[in-house]
Amino acid sequence: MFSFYLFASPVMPGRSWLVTAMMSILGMLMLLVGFILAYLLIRRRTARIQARWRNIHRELVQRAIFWEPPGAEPAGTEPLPGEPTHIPVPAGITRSLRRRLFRQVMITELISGKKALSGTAAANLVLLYTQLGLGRDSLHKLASKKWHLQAQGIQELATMEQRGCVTRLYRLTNAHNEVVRREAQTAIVQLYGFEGLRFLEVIDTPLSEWQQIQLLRLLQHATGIPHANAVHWLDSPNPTVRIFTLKLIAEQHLQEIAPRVLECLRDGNESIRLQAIRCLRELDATDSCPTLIGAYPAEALAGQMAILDALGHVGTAAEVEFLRTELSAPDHRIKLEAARALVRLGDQGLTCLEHFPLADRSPWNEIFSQAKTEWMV
Amino acid sequence: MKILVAEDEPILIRTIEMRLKRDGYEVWLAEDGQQALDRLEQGPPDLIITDIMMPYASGLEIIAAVRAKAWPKVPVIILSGMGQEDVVLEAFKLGADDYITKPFSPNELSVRVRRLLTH
Amino acid sequence: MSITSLISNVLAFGFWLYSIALLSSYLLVGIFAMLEMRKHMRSSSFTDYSILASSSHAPGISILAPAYNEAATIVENVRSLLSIHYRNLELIVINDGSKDDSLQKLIDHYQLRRTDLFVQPRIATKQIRGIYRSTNSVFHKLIVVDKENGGKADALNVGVNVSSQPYIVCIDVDCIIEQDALLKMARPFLDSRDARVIASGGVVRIANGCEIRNGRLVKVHLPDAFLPRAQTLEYFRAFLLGRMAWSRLDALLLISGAFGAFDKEIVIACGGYNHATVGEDMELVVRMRRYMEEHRLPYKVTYIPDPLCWTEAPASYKILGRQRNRWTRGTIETLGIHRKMLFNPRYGRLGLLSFPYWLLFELLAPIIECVGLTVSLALAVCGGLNLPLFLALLGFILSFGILFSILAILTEVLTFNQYNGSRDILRLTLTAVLEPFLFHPFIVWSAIRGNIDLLRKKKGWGDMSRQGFAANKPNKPNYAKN
Repeated sequence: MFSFYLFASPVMPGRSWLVTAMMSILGMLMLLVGFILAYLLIRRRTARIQARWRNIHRELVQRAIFWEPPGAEPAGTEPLPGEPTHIPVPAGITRSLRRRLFRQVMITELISGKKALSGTAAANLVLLYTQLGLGRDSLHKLASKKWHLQAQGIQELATMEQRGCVTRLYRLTNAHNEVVRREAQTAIVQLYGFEGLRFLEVIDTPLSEWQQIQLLRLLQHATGIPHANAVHWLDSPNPTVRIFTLKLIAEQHLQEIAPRVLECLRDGNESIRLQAIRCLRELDATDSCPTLIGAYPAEALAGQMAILDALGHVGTAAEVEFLRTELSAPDHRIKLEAARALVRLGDQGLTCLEHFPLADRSPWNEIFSQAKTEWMV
Repeated sequence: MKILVAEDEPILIRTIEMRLKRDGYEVWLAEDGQQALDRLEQGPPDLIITDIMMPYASGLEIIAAVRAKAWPKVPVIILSGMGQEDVVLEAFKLGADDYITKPFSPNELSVRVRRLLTH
Repeated sequence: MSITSLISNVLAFGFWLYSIALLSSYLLVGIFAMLEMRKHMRSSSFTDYSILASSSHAPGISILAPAYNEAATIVENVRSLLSIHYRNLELIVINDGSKDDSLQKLIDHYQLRRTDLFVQPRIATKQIRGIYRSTNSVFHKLIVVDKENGGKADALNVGVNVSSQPYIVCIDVDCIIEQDALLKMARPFLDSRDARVIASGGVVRIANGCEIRNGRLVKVHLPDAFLPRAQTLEYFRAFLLGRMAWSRLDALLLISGAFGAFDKEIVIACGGYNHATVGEDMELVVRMRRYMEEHRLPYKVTYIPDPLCWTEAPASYKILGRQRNRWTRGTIETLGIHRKMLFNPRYGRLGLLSFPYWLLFELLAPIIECVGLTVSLALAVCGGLNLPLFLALLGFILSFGILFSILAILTEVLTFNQYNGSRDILRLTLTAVLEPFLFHPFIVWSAIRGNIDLLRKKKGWGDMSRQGFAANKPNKPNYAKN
């Protein structure tokens, strides 16, 4: 790690300089160690205090979860509109809520409860959040100049369903900072479902794959996607928006859009063509097979494999002939994919494999047997 | 009636505990997978509610451990944030009796518990 | 001025310049690393990694775990690997012609049955003897490959051929991998925008002294023995500061063989692991980067600093010496194979920054240090040494080294803070002070021995028997690790 050096020489730094430098480094070292120890001490103390607070908060949160508005009949009914409802909060907590950190611990607890609960329990947590005025803290973070505070504020507001601040959130969907932008987009979709995807029309930055996964997850149980919009997004100049839309179409099984998806097979971008093929596979669009086969020769390996896979899912007896020719392709990966597709197609496909002239020779015998075993599992 | 609840989120485990106690059940708590497995060594509960993703051992392992014992069948309810079709199918294949996706309603959980225990 | 004094002055100045360059590079590394770390910690605090665990859009990953004579622990290790949270996952255990009953143990315990799996040999390897899968659907992610012995690199290449997923994660089978490790490792591959992420490195932490149950880490402890503790500190410096800084510069050359993720297509495109070197993990990363640079493809190598992988460090001087000897040979071989990249502007910061750094400060440092000490000793014997100046210089450099270690401890405390409060931190600080005298000279000596062995063309792995997480491990040769 180090090499030391040693002669008296005019080009070397003087001894006194070195001693001074060493002393200052040692001083710095002591300071650092002191800092670390002090930090650990303070951290342990705050951790202890926060743990105590958390216990207080959890009790309140539990009470809120099972709280029923006065006069309400059976559990699960909504309070009458217009009637002011309050979850009783002990005076001690109200007093302590003047402290910022105390409020933050409370927000964290409410959020983790809200994320996992639904129904009246969740509604009560939101009620407690508004009743304690914690939204002000979140909004305050939103106004901060620090990106990580902004992002945190956005998450809090979205989880607590604070729809009042939607304009501010919407503006942030094209924010300069990536994390802020991501959280704002997520928040809007969390609050408004498909309607929230409006931002797809304006963003000029790529949607990372991570972000696409996150959005798809939020939308997995949503219904009622406007078809016109989906078609419109497929025309977006932003390629990641087109890819995302294709994933969405597949996940929502929007069969009606299949003809428009077929057009994407002519897109200049390889990843979009690939996604379109995968999308067609999910759409069960049997009439897309001729177009898929037509696109096949021009595709690279990944595209060809995806097409073979898709044919296995949406194909019929009509595609057996094409798949049979691909069993003789030079690349073994193509052979395997074609064999898999034939197995999927059922009896005609299996007969085709059995009658293949080279079926008992290597590598076909191994490939066919793998394709068959996979299908049985 | 004894119910084993395995769940690593502190707010949730307390919520579930409170709900079930209110229904008059005895509740065993496990804050991670290992605690749940250890608890099972002491004898069978009447029902198990478990998360899937937990530290040390997953909910699926807990099902496997319960099914490997020579006990009369203990019903298992999975309570998980993973709602994908094939995860759910896998859980049922391994022997789960019910599957609740988070976010969930404690009242609904209570109804499902009662239904499984009266059958 | 006489000729000898002129020479000694030039030498002295050279050594001084070198030390200054080395110290400044350490300082820069420290600063870069801490900035990058702050960003990482902040951004991961908003991330709900668990959404990846169940998403069907998460990239498919194959874990490749080569095993050689691991019968004592293999069943437990596989069980812990199977419990990793990830859906699109395939666990490929490669039995590299073990001489013990590893394979039979796996077959019995996981109810394996031989299956037909067509494997296209995209990388040339030793013969595969059989492929096994479980008949029990609980273990459907498991694939066991039995092959003829060919060394770790060959075993990994077989894994690459067998893998059906686009990404591979290479691990040592006896490492303890945290359950959320893959969720975090997969993240950088999904975050990239224009550049393709070809590899992502993970942190390796020292498991000695930690409480381990059923193949899982239950409680983190600082090792009591000095040697593992010194390595704990060394790994802090290397992983929390060194690699973090290099990843910020996007000039990372080494991904630890014990835990790293790779884009399989690129691995295959550049021919897989090289079994002609003992440093196959570093060589692969360098070759992948070289491939991307030569094809002018935009790419990135990323790094995740979260403690996700725990390994047992050598606890005896003998085994540690062998390990470092091998590391040195691996580094020299890798830099030798790719010497064309050194100072070559065509390879961008790789050729102009990483390579010179590795050559000057990783490879040559032990040699220069050794030469410096020998010359000083010789001069002292001849009475030509200015002792006070020598001591002042020594003190200066030593104190700087300790400062760097303290900086690493600080980074750990501010980020993951895995150890138990002030007591452990004080023990680590004490280790930082003792290390330059008790640990460092031995490391330098092993590196020098590595140089000598390479000159003598000594090949082979150097056995590394381990204590084993289960104490009753037989003393058979395993792969040399880390």
